Amino acid sequence: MFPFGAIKRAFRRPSRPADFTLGKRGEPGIPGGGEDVVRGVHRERRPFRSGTISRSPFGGMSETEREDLGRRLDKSLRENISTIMDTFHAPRNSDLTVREIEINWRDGRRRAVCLFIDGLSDLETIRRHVLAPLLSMDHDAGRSSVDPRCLAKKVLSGTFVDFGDTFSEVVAAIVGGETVLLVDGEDLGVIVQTRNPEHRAIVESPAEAVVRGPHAGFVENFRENVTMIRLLLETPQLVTEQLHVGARSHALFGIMYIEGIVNPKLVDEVRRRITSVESGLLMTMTILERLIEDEPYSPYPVMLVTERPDRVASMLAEGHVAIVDSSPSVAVVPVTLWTLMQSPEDYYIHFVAASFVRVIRWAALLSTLYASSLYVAIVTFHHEMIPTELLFTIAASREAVPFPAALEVVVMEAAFELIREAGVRIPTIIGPTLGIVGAVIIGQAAVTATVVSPILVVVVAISGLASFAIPNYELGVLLRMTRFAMILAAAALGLPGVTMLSVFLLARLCIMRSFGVPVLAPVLPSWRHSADTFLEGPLWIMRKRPQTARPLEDDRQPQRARPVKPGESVRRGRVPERRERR
Amino acid sequence: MTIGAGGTRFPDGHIDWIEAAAIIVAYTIAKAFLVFPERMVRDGITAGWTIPIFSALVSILWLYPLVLLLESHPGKNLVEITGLVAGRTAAILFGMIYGIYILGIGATVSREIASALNVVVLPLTPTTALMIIGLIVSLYIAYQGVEVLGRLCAIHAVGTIAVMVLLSLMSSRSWDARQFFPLLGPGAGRLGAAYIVRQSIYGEVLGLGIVGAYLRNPREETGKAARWSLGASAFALTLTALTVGMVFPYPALVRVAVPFLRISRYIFIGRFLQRLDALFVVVWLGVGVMKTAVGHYLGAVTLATTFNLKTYKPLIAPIAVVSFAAGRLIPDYSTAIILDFDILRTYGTILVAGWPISIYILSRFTRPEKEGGGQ
Amino acid sequence: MNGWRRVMVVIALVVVVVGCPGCWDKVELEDVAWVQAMGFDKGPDGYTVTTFQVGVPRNLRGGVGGGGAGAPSGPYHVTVSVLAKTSFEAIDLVALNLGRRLSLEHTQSFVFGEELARADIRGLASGMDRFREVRGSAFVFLARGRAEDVLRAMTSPLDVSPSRFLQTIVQQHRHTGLFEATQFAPFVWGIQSDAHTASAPIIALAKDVRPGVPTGMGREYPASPGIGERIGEPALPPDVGGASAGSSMLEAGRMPRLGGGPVEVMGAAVFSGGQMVGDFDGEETRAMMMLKGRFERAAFSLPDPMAPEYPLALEIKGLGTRVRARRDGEKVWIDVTVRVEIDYIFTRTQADYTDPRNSPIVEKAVEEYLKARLDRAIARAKGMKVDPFGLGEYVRKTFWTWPEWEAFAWPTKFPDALVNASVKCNLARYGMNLEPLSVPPGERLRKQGDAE
Repeated sequence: MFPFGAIKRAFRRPSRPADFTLGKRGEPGIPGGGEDVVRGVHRERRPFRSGTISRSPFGGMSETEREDLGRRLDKSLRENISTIMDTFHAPRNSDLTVREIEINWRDGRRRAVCLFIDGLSDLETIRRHVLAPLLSMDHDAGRSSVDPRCLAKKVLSGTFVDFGDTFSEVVAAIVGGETVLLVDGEDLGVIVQTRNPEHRAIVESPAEAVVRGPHAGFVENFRENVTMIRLLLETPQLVTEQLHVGARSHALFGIMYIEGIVNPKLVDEVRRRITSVESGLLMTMTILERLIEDEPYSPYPVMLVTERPDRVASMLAEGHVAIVDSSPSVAVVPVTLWTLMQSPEDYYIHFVAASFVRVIRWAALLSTLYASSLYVAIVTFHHEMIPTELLFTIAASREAVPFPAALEVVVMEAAFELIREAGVRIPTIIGPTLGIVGAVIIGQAAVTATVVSPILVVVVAISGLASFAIPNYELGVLLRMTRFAMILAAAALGLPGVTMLSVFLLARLCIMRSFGVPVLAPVLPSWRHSADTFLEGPLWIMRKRPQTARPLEDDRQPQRARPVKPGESVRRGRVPERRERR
Repeated sequence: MTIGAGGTRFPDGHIDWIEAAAIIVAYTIAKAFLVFPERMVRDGITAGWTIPIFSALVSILWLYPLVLLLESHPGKNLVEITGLVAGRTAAILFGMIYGIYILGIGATVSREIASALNVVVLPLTPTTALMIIGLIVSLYIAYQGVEVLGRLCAIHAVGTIAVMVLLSLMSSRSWDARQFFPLLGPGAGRLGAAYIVRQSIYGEVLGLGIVGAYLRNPREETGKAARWSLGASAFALTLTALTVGMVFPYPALVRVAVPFLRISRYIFIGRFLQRLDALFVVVWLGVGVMKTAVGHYLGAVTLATTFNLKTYKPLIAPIAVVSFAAGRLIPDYSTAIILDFDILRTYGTILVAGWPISIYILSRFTRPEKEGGGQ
Repeated sequence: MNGWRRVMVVIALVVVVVGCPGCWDKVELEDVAWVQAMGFDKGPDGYTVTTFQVGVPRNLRGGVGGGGAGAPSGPYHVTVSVLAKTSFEAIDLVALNLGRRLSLEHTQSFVFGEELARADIRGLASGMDRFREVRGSAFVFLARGRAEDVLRAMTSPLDVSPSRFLQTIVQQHRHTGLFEATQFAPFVWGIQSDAHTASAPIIALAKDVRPGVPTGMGREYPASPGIGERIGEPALPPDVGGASAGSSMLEAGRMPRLGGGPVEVMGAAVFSGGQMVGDFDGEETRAMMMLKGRFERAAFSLPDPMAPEYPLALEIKGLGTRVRARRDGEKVWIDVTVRVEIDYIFTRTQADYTDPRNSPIVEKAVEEYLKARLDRAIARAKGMKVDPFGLGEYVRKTFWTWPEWEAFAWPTKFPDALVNASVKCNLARYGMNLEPLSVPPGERLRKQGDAE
C-alpha cells in the first residue's frame, strides 16, 4: 500500500507539466501553468484493440494481400478489372457494378469502365455526370486528352473529382461510394464523388423533444448534418475540417468551429486526439467518444452529445468545438456540469419561467441522489428526526414487513430500474399499458401484501421520476447508478456515510476536466460566466461570452440589444451591466 | 514569466484569491462546530463572544507582515522565504515546528470530531471506523493538488457558513440578549489577556503562507485573500459564539460539550422540523474531512519544502497515518480538548505570531545580499 | 498511478462490504419502544420509581396503512413503573418486560413527583441533561402527588395520543396564562442560575366535583382578597360537594368540574436551585408570566366597579413588560410596567363601558386588580427567597463584571429590593356590540313597579 513507486519516481525527476493548456483570453497558454492541464494527456491512451475488428477498409485481409494492393494500376484494363473484381469477390459479391463503355480517346476509341457499388453511389449522378458526358464526348475533346486528368477538367461534370493510381486507393474509393473510371491503356484512375446513400428524413429526435422551438434533428448523413448547422450560422468563419479517423478509412468525421472565436489550442487538441485514434472497422460517434474522452474509466459525460442543430450552433457561437459524423449524434466539447443541466427549451420560453424550471431540475438532481438514501439513513439510524406521529405510522406499517429498510429500498429501486429498462424495449403499443400495470398494480399489490411499506413506494417513485427530469441522458444514468452507492452508504453508516460519499463525489467533480476545462467552470474556478449558468437571465444582459471555452473574442452582442421605445433616441450612456470579472 | 511566476517548486497549478481564502476558511472554521464556543465562554464569561472579533484584530499584527512577505517574494511559500532571509537552518527549524503544529492540530481535531460523533450520533460504532473512512476520503482529496482542493474548499466553505447562518436563525426563538450582561465578563484585564492569547484560534490562517505561493497574481491578490480568509473566519466564529452566548446562560454553557450541536437540538419549528442534529452531523463531517485534507496537504508541502524535496505527494500518506495514530493515542475527548486548547493554542501563538513578524523584520534588514544565493 | 488507484478501490470496497450488513448502530425503528412520557417519583430507601409511558404504534398510527383497520384495537399506550436505584437502570429493566429496546428520543414530557422535587432533583436533572437521547425541547411538569398516578390516569379525551395531548395542552399556556410551559433545557438552566430560577407547571389528577348550585348565599363571586394573603379566595362556595372551604379553585386538581379529562394543568412549582420550595396557584402564575413578559392572553373576572355585587369578565391581551433596575451599592430598585389591553368585556349589568367616559373606570379597576396580584406574587417569591421572574437578569445589567455579580448573591438581596410593579391597561376592544342590550320599556316599567 505504501507508494514505493511514487517515491522512486519522485526522487528521480520532477513531474512534467503537460503541453496542452488553454491560456487566459485565448493566449497561447502559460507553460507550466498547471491549471488548464489536460489530465488525459499524461495517460497512455490504449488504442482500440479488439480481436475481431481490424483496420478498415481492408479488414479481413491478410498482410500480404494488403501489401499487394498497394501496387500501381496496370495499363491493361482487363487486368485492372479482374484484380478489382477479385478483391471484391465479384461476381459472387453482387454489390459491385462494372459498367463498360467506349470513349473517344486520343486517336480513336478506347474501352473504359466505371466501377461503383450500387446503393452507395447515386445512380442519377453517375448517369448524368459521369456516363452521359463520357458517352457524348466528341472527337476533339478526346484527341486533346493527354491523360485522364483532362477528362476531369473538360468532360466530367461531377463536382468532386480525385485521382488514384494504386489499387488500394481505387478499392477504398469504390467502397466509399465513389465511382472509379478506368481507361484502357492508362494507369491513372479517375475517382468521382457520387456517394449519396439513402437516409432518414429530418425529424426531431424523440430524446430531445421540445414543446416550442425548431423540431429538427441530425440524420445519418454527414453532409446533411453539416448543412443544418451551417444554415444556422451563416458566416464564412465557420470551418468544417474533415478528418479521417485512421490512415485509410471512410469513417468521416468533421470538426466544426468558428475561427476567430474558438481558441486554437482547443481545436489543435481535438484534432490531435481524433487523428491519433487507431480506427476499427466500425467507427461511429459513440465509439469515438469513448476513445478520446478525458477519463475513460469514469461514466461522467465530458462531451455533450446532442441531436439538435440549434444547440450545437449556440455552443459553437460561444467558442466550443463540435465533432460531426454521419450519425445523428453530434458531440460538443468542452462541456461543463451546468451545460449538462440545461435544456434547449430554456431559450424558447421566458427567462423567468426557464429559471423556475431550472430550479426544479436541480431539485430533481438532488432528489434522485438523496431521496432514497436519506430515507434509509433516517429510518435506520436517525429516528429522532422523524416527527412523532409519522414515526408511529412508519413503525406500525413496518411491523409487518419482514425486510430491513435498506434491503427494501434496494429491491424497490432495482424493480424500478427493471421496469424502466423493460419499458424501453416494449413495442409502443403495449408500452403505456405496462406502465400502468407495472407501476400501479404491482406496487399496490406489494404494499397490500406487506412486502414493502407504502411510504417507501412514494420515496422510490419520487427519486425514480426525478432522474428523468435531467436533460442529459448519460448524466441521468450516472446518477441512477450513484443512487445505489448512496443507499449502500446510508445503510452502512447513516448520514455520516452519505456525507462521506457526497464529499467524495464532490471531489471527483472538482477533479474532472472536459478537454482541459474543469467541469465546474466557470463557477469554480471563477471565470466570467454568462447569466445563464444556473438560473437564466435575460438575453440582453449576456453581453460577453462566458470564458468556459476560453474564446478569443469577448463581445457577443452590441451594447443595447433590446430595442428602445418608439420615439426615444438611443441613449448615450452606458447600459447598467453586470460587474465584469477579469 | 510575467504572470504568476511559475508554480513555485511544485508544479501544482494556480489558484485565485477566492480559492486560497476558501482553503484557509475551511481549515479554520471547523473548530466552531466543536468545543470552541465553550472555551470562549470559559475565558470571557459573558463577554466571550467578543473574543473572536478582537483576536482577529490582534491577528492582523502578524497577518500583515505575512502578506507583505508573500507579495515581495511571489511564488514562494513561507518556508522558502525564511530560507532566503534567515538562512537554511532557520527554514528547517521553522518548517519542522510548523509541520509538527499542523500534525498536532490534525490529530486533535480528528479525535475530537470522531469522539463527538460517537457521543452524539452513532454511539455504538467504533471511533476507528469513522476515522478510517474520513482518512481515506481526505487522503484522496489531498492528493489531487491545490486547484482541486481550492475548488472543493470553496464549495465547503460557502455551504458551511450558509448552514451556520441558517441554524443560528432557526434558533432565534431562544435568543436572549440579556445574557451578554455583565458586559465585561471576567474583568477588563483578563479579557484583554484573552484577546491576545486567544488569537491562536486564527493560527490556521498562517496556512496562507503556504497556499499563497500558488496565487496567480500574488501582487494584487494576496492582500485580498488574506482579508477574506481572516474576515470570513472571524465572521463565522463570532456568529457561533454570539448565537451560543445568546441561547445558553453562562453557568450552563461551560458545562456543555458541543454547544452548537445542542442549539440545533433545540430547534423545534412547527412540530415537524425537529432534532436537526443529524443535519448538523453532515456539516460536521464535511468540515472535518476538509480540514483533515487541507491539513495533510499543508503539512506535506511544508515538510517537502523544508527538506528540499522535488515533490510533496509521497509525504501526504505518511502524514495522514501519523496524524491518525497520534489521534488514536489520545485517550478521550477531554484530553483532546486540553491538548488542543491549552497546549497547542496557547504555545502555538508564539509560533503563529512570531514567525511572520520575525522574518519580516529580518527581511527589512538583510535584504540585498541573501537574495541571489538562496535556494 | 494505476496500482495506487486499484489499492484504494479495494480498500473502499472492503469498507463498504464490511459496513453494509448493518453494522453497529443500525436499529430498525419498529424494533424500538418509543417512550412518550416519563415520570419520576421517590421510592423507599433512596430508590426511584420511574414510570414510562410507551406508545403502541399499531394503535397510534395516523392514517390508513396497508392492511390496517381504521379503528385502533387496543390502548394507545402502555404505562410501566419500575423501582430501581436510578432511572437510568430502569430503562434497561423495562426493556426486559416490554420486549423492545426503549428509546427516549421522542419523549415529549417529563413529570416529576412532588415529593421527589422537594428533595432536590439536581442530580436527576444533571444526568438527564447529559443523556444524548433526551431532547432539550421536551416539557417538564410537576405532579401533585405522585407522577405515576398522573401518568397512569392520563388518557386524552380529544386527542389520539397522550403525547399529542400534552403538546396541545401546552399551547394553552399561551391562551390562558394560568400556567407556563417549561421546556427541559431552560429548566436545567434555571436550576443553575440565581437570576432566573426554574419553575415548572403543576399537573394533577382532576377530581370530579359537582359544580353546585348556590344555596341562597347571594354572593357568587367574592371580592378580591388582601395583599399578602394566600389566596383562599376566590373560594368555592362552601357547600359545593367535595371541596373544603377556603380552597382555591385556581389550582390544578381543584377545578369544580364534572366530566372531561382526567388531568389538569395549572399553576407553577417554584424551585430554588434543584429543590422545590413552593408553588404558585393559577393567578400567581399569571402574575409571574406578566412579570416575565411572556403573558399573552387571559380571561378572568373582577367585581364590576360600577356595581360591585356583580362580576365583570374580561379578556385581556398582554402587550409587553418593561423592567428597569437601578442599583446603588446594595440597594436595588426595580420598576416593572406591565402593559395590557382589554379585548372583550362581559358585564352582567347595564353598565356601559363602551362609553369613552366610562372606560377609565374599568381600566383603573383592572390595573388595581392586576397590581394586587403582581404584588402578591412578588411578595410570595420574596418570602421563598427565589426569583422565578427573571428580575435578577435586569439587576445583573448593572454590574460590570461577573465576579461582582456572583459576590452580590442576588437571592439574599432580593427580599430587600424595592419592586414597584404597575400595570397600564387600555380598553381597546369590547366585542361585537357597542352598547349593552337595550331594555324594552315594558321591562323597565315592570322593574320600577317591582321596586315600589
